[in-house]
Amino acid sequence: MSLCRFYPSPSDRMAIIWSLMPIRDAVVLEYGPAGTTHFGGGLYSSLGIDLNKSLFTTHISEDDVVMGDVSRLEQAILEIDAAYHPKIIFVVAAAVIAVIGTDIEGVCQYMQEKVQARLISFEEGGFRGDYTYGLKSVYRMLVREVVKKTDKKEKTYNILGASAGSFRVRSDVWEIQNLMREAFGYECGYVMGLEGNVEDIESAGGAAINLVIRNEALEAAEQMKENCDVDYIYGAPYGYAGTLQWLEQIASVIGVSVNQELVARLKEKIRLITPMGGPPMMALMQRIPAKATIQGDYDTLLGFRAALAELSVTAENLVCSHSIKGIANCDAAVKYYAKEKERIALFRSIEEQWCLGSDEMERYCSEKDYFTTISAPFISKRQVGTHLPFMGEKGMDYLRELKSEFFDKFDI
Amino acid sequence: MGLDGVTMLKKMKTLRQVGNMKQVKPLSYALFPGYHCPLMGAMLTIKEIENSVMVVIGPDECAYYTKLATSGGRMKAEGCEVVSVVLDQHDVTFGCQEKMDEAFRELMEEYSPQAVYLVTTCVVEVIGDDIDAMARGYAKEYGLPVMVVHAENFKTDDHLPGIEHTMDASIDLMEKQEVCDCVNVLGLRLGDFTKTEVYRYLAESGTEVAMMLPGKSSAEQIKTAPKAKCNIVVHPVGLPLAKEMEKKFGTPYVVFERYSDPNRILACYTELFETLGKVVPAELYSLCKERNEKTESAKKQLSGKTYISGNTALCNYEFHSFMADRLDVKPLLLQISDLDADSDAFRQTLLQYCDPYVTRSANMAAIGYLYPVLKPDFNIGAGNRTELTKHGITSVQMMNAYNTLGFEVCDMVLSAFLRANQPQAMQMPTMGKGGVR
Repeated sequence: MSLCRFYPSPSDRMAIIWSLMPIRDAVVLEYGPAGTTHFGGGLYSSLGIDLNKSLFTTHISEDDVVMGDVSRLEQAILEIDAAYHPKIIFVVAAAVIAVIGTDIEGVCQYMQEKVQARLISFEEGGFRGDYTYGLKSVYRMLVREVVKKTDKKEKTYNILGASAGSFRVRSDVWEIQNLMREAFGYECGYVMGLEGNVEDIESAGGAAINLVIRNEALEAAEQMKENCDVDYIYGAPYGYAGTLQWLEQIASVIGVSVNQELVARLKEKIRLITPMGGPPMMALMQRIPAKATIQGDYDTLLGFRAALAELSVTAENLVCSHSIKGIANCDAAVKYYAKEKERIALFRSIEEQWCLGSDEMERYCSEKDYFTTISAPFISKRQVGTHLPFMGEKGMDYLRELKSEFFDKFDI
Repeated sequence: MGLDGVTMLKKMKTLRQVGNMKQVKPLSYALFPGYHCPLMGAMLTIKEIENSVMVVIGPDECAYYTKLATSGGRMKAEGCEVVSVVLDQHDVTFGCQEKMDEAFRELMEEYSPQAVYLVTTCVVEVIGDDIDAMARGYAKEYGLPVMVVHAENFKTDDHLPGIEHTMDASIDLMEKQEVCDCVNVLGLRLGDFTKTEVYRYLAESGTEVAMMLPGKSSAEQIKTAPKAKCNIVVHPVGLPLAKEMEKKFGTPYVVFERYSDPNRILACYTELFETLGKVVPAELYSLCKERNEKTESAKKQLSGKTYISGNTALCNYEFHSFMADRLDVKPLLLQISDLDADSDAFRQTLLQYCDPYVTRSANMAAIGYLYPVLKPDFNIGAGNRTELTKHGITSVQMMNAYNTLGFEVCDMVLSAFLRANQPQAMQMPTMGKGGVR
C-alpha cells in the first residue's frame, strides 16, 4: 500500500486496546506518547467503550526514547495499582516504543513483585499486522493467562470473537443471547473482548459450550477445549435458515433439542421468503439480477452472503477489510485488496447493486447503488440501540425490509 | 479507591519554585486523557488551507486518527485533502523513500494541489528518514511547494508545536508582494477572527484581512501574505512566523493576544493603528474607560474568591495576573503547559499576590482528587464534572471565547465570573466552552 486516501486498517495494537478496555476490573496502560491515547479515546468512545478509569497513558519524553528511561512506566504501574486496585494491568507498547525496542515484558516481570495487580504486557506496537492479529493475540492471551479450569456451570455458554470494532456487535450479541435463551434456556457466561470482568473470564472454563463467531477466536476455543474441556462451534447465525442450522449445530453438541416453537417460527419465515419453490424460481422472476457487493470482516462476508442468498440476492464481490493470509481454508470468493486504489476502483465501478459495507464504501459508491452500513469504519454512524442486530431472526427481519427497498429502487 | 489528594499536593511545586517545564510535575504518572500531540496541531492548521494536501507519514494508528478527526464534525477538513503514507515493519527497517515516491506520484495525479505538507510522526523521527530531502526532491520534480512539518510527540507536552511548525514551514509558500492596506492574523488557533471586535474596528477603518493562519485560508492567500501592511499575532504560536516574515519581507508585527486587562487592550489597539498609519478610533478610549469601571465594580463582588484553572482560550498568565491584580481573585492551582519567557512579566505580577501550585495539564482522571483538598470557589477550563458538582465548585463558562478579541474579552471574563458567582450558578457546573485548548 502506498497512498492511503481513506482509513488504513486498524492496527493489531488498536484491536488489543479496544478488546482489553471493556474488562471492568482491569486497566490498560499505554506506554508511549500521550497524543496517541488522547486521539484514540475518540475512537474507543465511538465504539461504545467506557473510558472511565479503563485507559491511561504514561506519555514519554526524549529521555525515554534516547536513554531508555522506564521510570515513568514503573511509577505509573505503582500508582494505578495503589489508586485503583485493578486485578490486571495490561501494559501496551506504543509504536515508537516497539521501534526502539524497550523491554516492557522485562519491566513487568521485575515490577510484578511490587504490585497486587497482575501485569501482562503487549509489545506488538502496531507492527505485527492488522486488527485481526490483535484480536487473536488478546483471545489467546486471555485463555492462556486468565481462564481457569473450574467446575462446570450448567446451562451456560461463552461468546468468543465479538469485537467492539464490528458494527452493531452489541445488538448481535443481544440477539445471540435471546436465541440461546429461547432455544435452550441457556445463559451467557462471558463475551470475550467485549463485556465482563476478570472473574467472568476466570470462570469461563466452566461453560457448556463456546460459540465462536469469528475465526480469530478459533485458536482460543481450541485452547479452551484442551485446557478446560469446553466444546465449541464456529459460525454465526445469519438468515432464517442459517440461524436454524446454527441452533441445530449447537443442539448436537450440548445434547439438548431446540425449542420447537422457535423452530416452527423460523420455518414459517423461511417458507414466506421462498415462494414458488425457492431462490431459483425467484431469480427467474427478477427483471434484472439482484446483486450485492459486501465489504467487511471475513466472517461477516460469509454470513451476509448466506443471508442474502436466502433473499435471492447474489453476492458478486466479497471484499475483505483485513488481510486473509492467516485464514485457513479461506473461501475463494473472498478478496483482499492490499492497494486501496484497486478497492476504490471496484467500488466506483459498481452499478445497481446492494452495497453493504463501511463509510469508505459509501463514499465511493454512486447514487446508482443501494447502500447499507454493516462494517467498519463507521465513523459517520452512531450506534445507540443494542437491539438492532444483523444476526439471527431479528437481523434477517431487518434485512428483508432493506431488500424490499433495494428491489423497489431498481425495480428488480 | 483512588488517588490521595493530600499526598498529591505535598509533592507539587508552586509557581515560584519552577523555572522550566521539566520542574513541573504531572498530577500523576498515569494520565488520562493525556496531552494532544503536535500531529493534531498540524492537522488543525493544515485542514483549513484550501488546495493543499496533508500527508501524514507514520504508523496506521496516527493515519487512522487524523482521518477520523477530519472526516466530519467540528474538525472536518474543508478544501484540504488529508491522506497518509502508512509505514510497516519493512519501512521502519529499510526506510520509506520508495513508498513515499509512489504515494507522492499518486497524490499528484489525483489531487493536483497547490501545496503539500508532509507531516512526520514519532516513528519517522526516531528511524531518521530524511523527509526534508524527499520534500526538496518532490518540490523540484513536480514544481510546487512541499513543506515538512516535524510533529513528533516525545519532545513536547501539547499540540502547539504542530501549529507553530506548520506556520513556520508555510513561509516557503510566500512570495514578495506589493504592500497594500491589509493585515494577516497569525496564531488564531480556534474561532473566527471575522467575528471579533478587532476585526470590526479594522473593517471600519478600511483595512482588510488578507490571510489567517491558522484559519480559513488557501495556498494562494498564503503565497500572497507578504502584501499585508502588518501581521497581528494573536497567540505566541504565531510569533516565530511573524519574526521570520519581518526578516524576509519587512512585514512588521503587532502582538495582540486575547488579553483581559482593558489598559493593555487599549495599548494593543494603539500600536496596531499606529503601525497601519491610521488614527485610533476615539470610541476605543471610552470603551477602555467603561471596562475599567466594570472591573472595579466586579471586584466588589468577587474579591477574595479563588479558583483552579486549566489552559484557557485566553492569554493565560495575563489573565491570571489580571484576576489577582485587578479583581483580588486568586488561583490556587494552575495546570500549565509552558513557562515561556514572553509571559514572564505576567507571572511576576501574579506572584506579587499569590503563589499557586502548578502541574501539567490534561489529566482529568487525577484532578478531581484535588477539589476537596483545595476547595476553590471556581473552576476554569476542563474539569472533572462529576467531582466539581459533588464539591460545590462552579465552572466559569467563558462563552464564545474563541471568537473574541479586544475589549470584548474583558467583558466576557467579567461577565463569566459574575454569572458563576450567582447562587444558582452552582447548579450547572458544565465545562466552559473554549476552556480547553
